Amino acid sequence: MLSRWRYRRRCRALAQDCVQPTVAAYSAGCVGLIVDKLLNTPIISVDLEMTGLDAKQNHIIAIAWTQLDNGRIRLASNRHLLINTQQSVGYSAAIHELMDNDVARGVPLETGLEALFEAARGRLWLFHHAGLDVAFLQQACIAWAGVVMPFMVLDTMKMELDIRKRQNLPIHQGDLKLGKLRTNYKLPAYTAHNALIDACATAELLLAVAAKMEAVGSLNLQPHLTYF
Amino acid sequence: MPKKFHDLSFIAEFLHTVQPFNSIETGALHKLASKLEVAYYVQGKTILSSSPSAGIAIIRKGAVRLADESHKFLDKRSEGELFGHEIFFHGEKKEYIAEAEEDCLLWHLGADDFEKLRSENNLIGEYFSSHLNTRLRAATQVKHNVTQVRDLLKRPPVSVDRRMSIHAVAKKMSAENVSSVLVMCDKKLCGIVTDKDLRQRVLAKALNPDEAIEKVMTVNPMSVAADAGVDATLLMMMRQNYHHLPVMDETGPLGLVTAGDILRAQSEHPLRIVRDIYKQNSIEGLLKLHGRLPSLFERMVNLGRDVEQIGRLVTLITDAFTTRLIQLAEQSLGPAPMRYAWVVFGSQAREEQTARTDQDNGIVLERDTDADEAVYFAKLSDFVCEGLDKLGYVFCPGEIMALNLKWRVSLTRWKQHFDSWIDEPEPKSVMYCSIFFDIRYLYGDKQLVQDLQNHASTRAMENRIFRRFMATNALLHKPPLGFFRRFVQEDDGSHSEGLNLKHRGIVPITDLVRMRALESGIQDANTFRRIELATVSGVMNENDASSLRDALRLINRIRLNHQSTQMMAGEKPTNFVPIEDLSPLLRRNLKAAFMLVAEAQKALASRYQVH
Repeated sequence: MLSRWRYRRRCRALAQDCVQPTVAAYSAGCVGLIVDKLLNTPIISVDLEMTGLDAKQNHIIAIAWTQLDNGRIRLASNRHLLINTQQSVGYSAAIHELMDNDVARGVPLETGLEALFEAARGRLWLFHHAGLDVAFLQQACIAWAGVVMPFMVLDTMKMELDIRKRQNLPIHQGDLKLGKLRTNYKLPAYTAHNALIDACATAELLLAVAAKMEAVGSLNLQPHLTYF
Repeated sequence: MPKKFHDLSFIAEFLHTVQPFNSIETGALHKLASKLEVAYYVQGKTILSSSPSAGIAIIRKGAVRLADESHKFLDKRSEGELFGHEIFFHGEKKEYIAEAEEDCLLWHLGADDFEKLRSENNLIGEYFSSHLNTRLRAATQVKHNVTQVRDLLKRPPVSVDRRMSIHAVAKKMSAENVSSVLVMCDKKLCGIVTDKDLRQRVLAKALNPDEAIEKVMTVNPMSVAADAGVDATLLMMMRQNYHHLPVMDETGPLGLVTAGDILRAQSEHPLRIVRDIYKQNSIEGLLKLHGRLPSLFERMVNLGRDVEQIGRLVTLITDAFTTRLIQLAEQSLGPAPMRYAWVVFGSQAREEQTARTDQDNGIVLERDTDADEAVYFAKLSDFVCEGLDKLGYVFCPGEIMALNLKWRVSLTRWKQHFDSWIDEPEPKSVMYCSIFFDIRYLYGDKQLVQDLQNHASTRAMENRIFRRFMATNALLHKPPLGFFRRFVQEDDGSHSEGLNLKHRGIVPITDLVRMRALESGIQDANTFRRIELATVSGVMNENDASSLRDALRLINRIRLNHQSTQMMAGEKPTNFVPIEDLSPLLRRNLKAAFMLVAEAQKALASRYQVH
């Protein structure tokens, strides 16, 4: 994790110096992004599927996202890209239900990243459990553009953790999982799972968590940000 | 371009369950899904401050309260329903505001996309403009209300000469399939005879059927002019308690109109919901229908349907929910391992339910169960009772439910239950009896219930000591003496605030009437029918019968109006009426009703020499 100051410095540097046009444009967008209330902040909610949990060893096999504007999720912005990786999905297929032949139909990782960072331009990132996904994206960006990409991130898992810590609530194993939290917030249960559904599910969860926080004060996103 | 796909099937899947989108094909559904925006509203938040809004909103999760500009409740919408467009409440287009009654997840469709959808898709377009048809239909219905009774006549009258024998008249009525005939004296109307007259004045009195019909007819019946308004006619029939009315013009009788004809003509039948209930295949589906009950209830009350009928209709709906749940349970559990019957008790058995009601039910089994069979019926009861609870028929506080092992036993054990209460009456068992003697078969093997009822009613009829205990119990709830400004005047001289119409009015009457049923072996549970049967069999005189009937009608009417107002205000219906809510006229009438009940209680006390 970075300080806000170092994050901004990296964004400015990349915006000026990077020759890769998508990265430069994305970084310029980061410089210009002002984060305050949820209602005013453009957000992109992202979820990845991987062949495992190690960002250095395993590969991304699906990238999905949806965008939020004015506090609403625009379903028109939904994208779900399968990534054609050389690595076999192996046992991870049991989790994401993507088989080698599904993945073979996918696009090259570079194409996927390009589309993702275009969609993310000028937006705040949203993940549920950001650390893992960001680590994979940063590894991928090093290979793709040779840069360590800056991320300004909102993490629903961390937000819920903060709520519980503040209220001195006990936290048990599995309490902060996406499905469990959605049940707690009385959000609808999705029977199917894929990266896109989880990206949308995370976005809905953000709305519910924010609504809960807002009840005790207008929610400013600034204190909930993390920088990578 | 990267290969991308808008995988919206998880959105489309839900849209597919939403009217009118369930009618459109998958491609269009995906297109619609891609236009939606998801928003979240915390409970209490205003979603719409005026209507029609730009576009529509689909409720994905939660519930929304629609209210008029003075915040008066109009409707509640829940998961899978829409709002935001023009809505007709009871046939009338009204502007409304929308508030989140629970935390809500909504799918918004913007104005432009909504307009485009309506114009591009015929079925959707029709659905939203069919609200206009609804308005027209509603308008013609209103017009129908003020049209003439003439329009309701379906056939020329069946008439007979006054000298015709009762037997011949009855034969003619059967042949013509009518429930009433006009009696003519020299081509002039001079009387009317109904099925009820034949029962009460001929059969019950064992009158010779060869007598002339004029002996049993109602002489010079009230009639109505063919150009009289339908509303006025209905009002007249209700006031006089006539069910049939001859319709006349200058040439003579044109036909007969019944209260049923008028009510049918006035509104779409509330029992349409029953048909819908039987189409549902899940608790979720049933829950959705259950949301329609408050407005249905309000409509029944406001239409002025008589209280007997409202109780019956509300119960019919409860019966349908219960039956459907049992069917669904049987579908998932497989056929029952033995004959059994689902029985209902209390107000559901009496067909006297109102807006506020819990569940009283049980299962009569053919024989004792083995371990596997016990599991089957445990699962069945669990499913049905839990389902009813979710539907708002909350668990019976006294645990009189099939869920309770005690009330899910064989016929033999049921008989033993009744025997023990009747043979060894004590306060608890007498309290049970006041619930369990109001019993009605609902589902399964009817014979099992019939056997049990025969057994119980014979035993009760034979045992005067038991009935004496029941009489003591029937005197526990006493009507108040009168009212004093905001207070109820109690008979011990003290005052209490507000009036519980159920405990102070309804329960004493049902208890009194149940005593008559026990005395004469009447197995019907409905209070009005019990009164009727007790009168016919002679245990109750016509005077007492009409006193109790009138008192019950009045008290129930006040209770229903009160509950309907509460529900429309979005409150939970109660049986408790603040005295200041009653007009002076109502107070006077209510006081008279209570006096009748008190007198009947005194008569019961002296009959059984109890106090």
